[in-house]
Amino acid sequence: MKLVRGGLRRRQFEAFIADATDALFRTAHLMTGDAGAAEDLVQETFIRIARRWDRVRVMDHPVAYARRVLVNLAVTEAERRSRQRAELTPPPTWFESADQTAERALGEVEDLAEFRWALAKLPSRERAVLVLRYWSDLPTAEVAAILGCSTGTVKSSASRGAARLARVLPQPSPARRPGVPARGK
Amino acid sequence: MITDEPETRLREAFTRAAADIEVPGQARQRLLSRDYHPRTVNRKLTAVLTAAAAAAITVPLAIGGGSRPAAAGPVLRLASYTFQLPAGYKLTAATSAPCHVSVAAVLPWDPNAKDRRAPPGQTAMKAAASAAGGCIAAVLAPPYTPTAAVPDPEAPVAGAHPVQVGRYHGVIVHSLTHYPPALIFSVTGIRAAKHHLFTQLFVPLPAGGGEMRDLVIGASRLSASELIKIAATGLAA
Repeated sequence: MKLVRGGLRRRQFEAFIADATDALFRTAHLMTGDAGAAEDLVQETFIRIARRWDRVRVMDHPVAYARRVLVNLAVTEAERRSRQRAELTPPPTWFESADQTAERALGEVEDLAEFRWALAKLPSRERAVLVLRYWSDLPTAEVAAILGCSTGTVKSSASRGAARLARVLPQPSPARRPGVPARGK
Repeated sequence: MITDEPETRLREAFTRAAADIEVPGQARQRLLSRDYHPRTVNRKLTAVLTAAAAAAITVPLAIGGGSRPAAAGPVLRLASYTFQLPAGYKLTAATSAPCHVSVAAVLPWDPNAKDRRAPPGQTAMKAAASAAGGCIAAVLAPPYTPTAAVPDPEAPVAGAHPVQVGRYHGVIVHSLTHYPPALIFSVTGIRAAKHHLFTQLFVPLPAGGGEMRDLVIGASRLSASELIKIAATGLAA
């Protein structure tokens, strides 16, 4: 009987992994900016979940719990690394050349790599806030609960991070009224 | 309807960025096929080994000779290999606390799997502990015949990084598997618990007759470079 129950638990866990892998991998990739690191992060998350599977499997949203574990692992790991060594130096022209960037045809800033690079350069908690808020679409209070901070901290982090990311986001084309020539023309 | 333009643009950017991320096929396969359930110590095997260790108090855990530097720690002998350990470590029986957990962690032979090979014997697993709670565990895995499909049945496939260990190639993997949960739930929220990185080094060695056997060394409080250095000096001798 125990073996049967064990087998059932294991099958449930395997089904959970099959169901959660893609979403967790994408979240991990957004958090780390690297496929290898994302894989490690997802793997570590599954190891943690396996240890407490009896509790997790009866939850309403096991994948949401796994995401919570993953994001915290990512933040913890990033903070550990940043303590050990300085962050990679940003490209010499990125933040400083925001205006130049804007001067480029912003339509070309469909370049997701630039967005990801900008995201990866954010402090880990700011990045976590943005990923949870704008990718996972969680309300501020839930993001605060996941990261163990206040809603005020989430709001300020989101605001700060969004302002930095906004520099690489394509600007919406200004609606031009018919017949009104563009400035300088 | 009032829309927050910057937030909308951010959401769209995240959606595009996430949609652009594809889970690599091999990564997906590794994630799906890995056994996430921590290995449990084979109680029968542990009991037998403990009894053997108790019966033979003079377990061949030789401590280093006088020719070693005074600052160095003991020498761990495993088959014909001698590994110079750092100062502060003391050899201990592989099946007793605190190292039995580490030995179980590095034990490549899984009693719960369909592994028909003989389990590693007492002389094929050695350990040393430090007063600070650190542990170095070394195991010689049972021999295997490498195939194209399974070049090394012991080495982990996920999270492993290739390393050079002297003249041998190996892989190293970091894990937090055998330590307390990293998240603590409390009234003040969630925080990370203190944990120690557990590092495992797998080095396939020729075992004769076309067979190989892995030297597996795991340590809970040593860096990867320290672990590689210990293994490299032992394998070079």
